[in-house]
Amino acid sequence: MNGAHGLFGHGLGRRRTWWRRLVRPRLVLGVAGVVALIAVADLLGALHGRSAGDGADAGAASPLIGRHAPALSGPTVAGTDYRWRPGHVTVVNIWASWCGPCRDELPLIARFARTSSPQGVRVVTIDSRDGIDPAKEFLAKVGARHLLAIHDPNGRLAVSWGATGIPETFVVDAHGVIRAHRIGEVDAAWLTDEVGRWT
Amino acid sequence: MDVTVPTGRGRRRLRLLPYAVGLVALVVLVLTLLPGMPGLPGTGSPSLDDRTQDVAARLRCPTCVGESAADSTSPVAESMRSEARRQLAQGRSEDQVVAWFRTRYGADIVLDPQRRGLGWVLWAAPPVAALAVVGGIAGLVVVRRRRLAVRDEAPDRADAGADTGADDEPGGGADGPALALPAGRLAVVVTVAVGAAVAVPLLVLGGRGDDAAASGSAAPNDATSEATSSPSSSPSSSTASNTATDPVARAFALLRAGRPAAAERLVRPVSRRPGADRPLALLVLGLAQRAEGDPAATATLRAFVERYPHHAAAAQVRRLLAAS
Repeated sequence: MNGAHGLFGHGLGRRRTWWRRLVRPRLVLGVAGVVALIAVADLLGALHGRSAGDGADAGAASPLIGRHAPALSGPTVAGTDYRWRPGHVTVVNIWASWCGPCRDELPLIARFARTSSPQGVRVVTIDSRDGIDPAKEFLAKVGARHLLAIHDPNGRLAVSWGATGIPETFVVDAHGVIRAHRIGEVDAAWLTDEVGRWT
Repeated sequence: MDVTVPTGRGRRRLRLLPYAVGLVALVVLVLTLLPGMPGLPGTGSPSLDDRTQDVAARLRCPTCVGESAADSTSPVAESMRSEARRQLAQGRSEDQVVAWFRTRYGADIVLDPQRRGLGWVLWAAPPVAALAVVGGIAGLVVVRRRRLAVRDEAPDRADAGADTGADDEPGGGADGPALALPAGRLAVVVTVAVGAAVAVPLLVLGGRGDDAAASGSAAPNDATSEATSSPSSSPSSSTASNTATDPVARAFALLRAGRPAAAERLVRPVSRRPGADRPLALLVLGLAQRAEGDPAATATLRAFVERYPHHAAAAQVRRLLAAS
């Protein structure tokens, strides 16, 4: 018997057998073609999805921008209960006593809360992944004792706002729609601009 | 190839071979599919811990590079696990919890291989490849069995068939002579075709993914956010391999890991000399300066926009400049 012929299946009988009827070259090529087509279509879909995703993400740090704000309620650091409701332009700031940049930022937020309150602007902060006592000390130290701070010991409230780190700040308009989001420290100009746009 | 003509018993054993091969194929298929199946009915219902872990494993840790919320020890990942656990305990399904995170963090937070094109190909490749290989072997075995049987019954006719080859065989009837390949060769062709169908998109997409991670898709994401945290696109393995040699890619990784100072040192020389990676180098430099609070950031980013107005990240940076 010839080895090469054996490998490639020459020397078959002329009879058409059951498996030969099943394994038709056209059928097999067709199946391979369909598989290739699916792969190519999927590839195109993936590339398209990727670029479409880029377009959707463009310009928005948070996908929550333009959407209604998540719930914002809970016990405060001061020991009361707070429940936020839409109706006023609101600045929502997330901080913690262990966060370095917050030392600089929180006095600014407290000052902004005082000066913008006559214009009907609310400032609500979330004290995230923090203990009550260090939080109170911290607020006293930076001169922000009267700042409204919801206590969020395990960070769940921050996560429900799509926060990735600390500090982060959101601006919510009077209808309760999130209009701006900033990851990292804000400055006075950012606050004035973003809040001014919706008051 | 020297094969002795089998006796009646040996022939019977050969006839059973395709079935044995088919059984092996089935077992291989099931074994390759099993680990990829979500929500496989295990022993009893999974505990809340397991379900929390499952959900966290499907979510990307937004402040990490290439870690899931299940693996990371970062604060945000811990909070995400805590929230996922609370929602699961309230009776929400794993899919609902993942969707909840998606609305808050965007589609990039989901690490679901089955929803993405590349993931789909990767997922399907092992069973398809295993099927193709086993099918090829089965084809060869069947051919050999038929040959031996035909030879046994009518040695003269079989020899004649061997001499003339496949071209004058009736083959697939309506399929015509041009396509009438012998089954053994066919098995090889099918194996190669299926292999190529899987491998080619993989290679193409792998290459594309590299480019996208280096210039397009990842950069705009970081342009909108500070380097302190990066709601980033998928960290491709090709980026990781580039990172060892390419200073810009390494700087980019450093920037995303929250080390802008190191990123700036690394990328500054590249941003000064002309070259293909200069636009990205300038962008990374600007973002690093921005993350550090360096006032020079504005000038660097403005230079980037003016020099490369059509860069994928240019629009993003323009918005960034307008905002600050």
